[in-house]
Amino acid sequence: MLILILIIVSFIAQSFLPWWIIMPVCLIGGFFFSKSGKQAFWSGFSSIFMLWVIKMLTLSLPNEHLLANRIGQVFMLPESNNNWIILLLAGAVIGGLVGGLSCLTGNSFQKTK
Amino acid sequence: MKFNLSSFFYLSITLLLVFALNKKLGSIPPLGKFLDPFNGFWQQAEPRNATTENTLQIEGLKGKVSVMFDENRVPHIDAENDYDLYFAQGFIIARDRLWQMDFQTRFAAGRLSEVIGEKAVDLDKYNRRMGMGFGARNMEAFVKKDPKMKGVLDAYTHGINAYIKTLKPKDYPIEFKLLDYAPENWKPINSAFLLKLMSATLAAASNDFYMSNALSKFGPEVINDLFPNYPFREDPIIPEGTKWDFQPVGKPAVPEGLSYQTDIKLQPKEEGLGSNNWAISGNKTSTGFPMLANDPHLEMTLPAIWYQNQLTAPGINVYGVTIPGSPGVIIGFNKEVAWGVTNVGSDVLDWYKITFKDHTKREYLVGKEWKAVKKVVEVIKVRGMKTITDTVLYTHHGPVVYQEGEKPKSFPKSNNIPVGFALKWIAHQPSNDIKTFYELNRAKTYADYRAALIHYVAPAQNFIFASKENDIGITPNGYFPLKWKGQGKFLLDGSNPSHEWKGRVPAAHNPTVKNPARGFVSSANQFSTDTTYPYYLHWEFTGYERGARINRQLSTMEKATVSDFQALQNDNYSIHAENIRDVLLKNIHQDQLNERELSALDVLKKWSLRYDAREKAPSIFEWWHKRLAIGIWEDEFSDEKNPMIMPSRDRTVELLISDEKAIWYDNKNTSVKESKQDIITQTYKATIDSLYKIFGEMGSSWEWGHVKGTNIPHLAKIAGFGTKTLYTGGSKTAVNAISQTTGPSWKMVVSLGPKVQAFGLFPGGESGNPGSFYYDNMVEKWAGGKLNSLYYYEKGNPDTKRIKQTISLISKN
Repeated sequence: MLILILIIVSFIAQSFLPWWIIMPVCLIGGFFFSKSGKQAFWSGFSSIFMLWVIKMLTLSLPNEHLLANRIGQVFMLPESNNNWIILLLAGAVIGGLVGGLSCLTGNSFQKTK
Repeated sequence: MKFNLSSFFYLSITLLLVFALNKKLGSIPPLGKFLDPFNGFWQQAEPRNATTENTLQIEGLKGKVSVMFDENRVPHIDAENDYDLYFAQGFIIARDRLWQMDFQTRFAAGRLSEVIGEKAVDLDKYNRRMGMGFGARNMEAFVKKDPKMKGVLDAYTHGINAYIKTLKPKDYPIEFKLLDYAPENWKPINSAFLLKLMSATLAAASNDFYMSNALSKFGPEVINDLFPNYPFREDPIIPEGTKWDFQPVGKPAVPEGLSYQTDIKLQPKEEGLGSNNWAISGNKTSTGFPMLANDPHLEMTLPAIWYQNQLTAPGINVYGVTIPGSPGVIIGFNKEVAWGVTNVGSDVLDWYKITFKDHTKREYLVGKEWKAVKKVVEVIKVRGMKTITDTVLYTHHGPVVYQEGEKPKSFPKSNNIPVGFALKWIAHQPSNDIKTFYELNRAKTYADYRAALIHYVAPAQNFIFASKENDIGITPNGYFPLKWKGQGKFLLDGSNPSHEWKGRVPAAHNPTVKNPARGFVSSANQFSTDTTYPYYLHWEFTGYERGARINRQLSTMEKATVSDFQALQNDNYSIHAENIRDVLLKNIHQDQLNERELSALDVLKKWSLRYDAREKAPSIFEWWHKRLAIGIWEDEFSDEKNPMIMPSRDRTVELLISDEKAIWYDNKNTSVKESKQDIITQTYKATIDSLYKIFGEMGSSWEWGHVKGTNIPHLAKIAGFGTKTLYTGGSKTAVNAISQTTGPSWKMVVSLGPKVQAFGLFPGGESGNPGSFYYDNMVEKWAGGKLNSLYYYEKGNPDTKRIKQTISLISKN
């Protein structure tokens, strides 16, 4: 449930606001809908991780990963047709971490209610 | 709500993480912002196939504009009036190349530090001190006086800004995201900055400082011998013996005390970039109509230097390339005519020693008078640091680029700049160069071509021309200062008024030739004329070898076709190798060579003299002749404190061919006395040794295509945004002058006639986006020496097979 809410709200918010909007979204989500710290973190993490992976794939697949493979070299990776996988995972993990930590923070505020 | 320690802890960690991921750290872009798929780099991942129909509503258009994209995504812009035409051109170019335009303008204006930070400060100071802004402002003010050109620049500017207005941060070109900054509005002066940048690339070479050092060391006799004012071998652009049909204006007298003497590490002579153009008359072609070819060579970068487009409106239908940021077409063709350019290396940059009255540097001496110095304060914003101010002294000559203590230590661009001298440079001259292109774009006849050239100032170009009416012509054209012979070969004295430029060579007296008897015209950056031309343009130009090869091939051509021209553009034959290969082979001490040296020598003996990619001989020859030149001259011309240049390739060839006993062969740094044969043998052995060390046994790794290692880097040298190493032939002394990073930045062949046919491509693609399939799609074909057939759109008759996408631009209001 929490995951679904986070994915939908983050998707809408991200469509016209900067990337860090996922932080308040997950924080509020965690505050109202999480059951435990652990559940909050993993819900936040997996929802942003999944949302980002799906969005990345919808952009990168029609591009045949041309750009993502080039960007790999910007980050010092050797030239390869699989760089996109690393970037996709790195990006999604970063997004997931922010989502997870925000959700966990939200959950921790429950105890102060 | 009571205070909770763990909440506070989690919140701090989260905020810290978000903050860190939103900030650029050194050269690492803000990771969260950059990797986010909703706003980050993924947004620039373009699908292979774009949508086919689209209508955009734009504020500021007067009517309706159709932009048709062909299979190479070249836009063919069809507008109802001039204003809309240049508006749409600005809009569409910005759509493809906005970051490149922004970055190059910042570079020219000395504003890179604003986005890159401290490491660009020396570069910014340099460009400002060279007076790039001074020149651009002079140009902008001058163009504004011409209502028609002002209208063109304004329309173009509005178009670019209309595009910028449509952008949200997620749409910014990827380099903005990597470097983490936002595009700013375009200003008409930016177009002037881009043209100044062309002068900085093509008309800023200066050996005056090095030559003065050499003069101080060796005296006039040696200098006149080793650095003559006309080469040993030449094949000038205006055919030898052409008569000058004008009465020359009074030439300035050569003053006493020829030039300023300096009180005094070897600078390897920078080879010119190597552009070619030629045109042949209809009686030498298969169609009976003239054909024209042009391949301007430049330091190649991605996004591509040029942008192909076609501009159609009442009174104009022109196809060709332009520099993103400059309106119109610079090299191209229309139904009636074709034209192209190569660089004229005339001397349009001189240095004047300034005599200040006292340490306050408020006044300086001119003749017997003291003139006031103008102080200009340059304000340089630096990212992540305090704003820097830099005071530059301006004289009537121009800016004093560096005073004592101002020259940066490790900044190679400043090596050839003498301290305490003012810069007189053509790029500072007010000019309306875009008018030349405006008129050429609409030209129908030879007379139109000649009339268009009058407005052009810098960087001087060999404007080549052909028309359907069966006229061909070439004009080394630009503002040539009126000088005494040799003026500016050495540093000049700013306090002596007779050292100043005395106006210009009248534009009508610029060298030109129309329909010469030989049936063709050509240029390859060599001397503009033979020694009968009554004005002095320069004492040195690029070597004659490419030009001579072109002329040799053209003179034998009968019923020439497009593929003949294409073959000549790809011609790897080196006249330099023809000149000295056998001299070197004859003079080498064969008895001193070991087995592998002998087998390499055998490869050289059998060589076709072509710098083909698969040949090994060019690798040996190229390294050898360069090492030999250094071997001959370095011991005399290398001096840490007083940098000099070596005598030219032409003078070295002359020495090797006709001088057995010259003192220059001896290496002064050894106790024995080397002969010509010794130096030839020693440098050969060293060459083979280096090749073995770097490339191993003589096998495929010695092939010229590998040894040369051509590649095209990104404009800001961003890894992954350049090309792989390309396997190409070519040499600076061959028509196909591809070196490691320089080469034909645009190749064009036009066959005029009832229906104009044209072919061309550039090493890159139309798009400036590394995430687009049209970013480098022409590179492979370019490296293979092939050309694309260019689609020439005609109003009311679109070729539906060639047009892949159409965008209609309509007015919003």
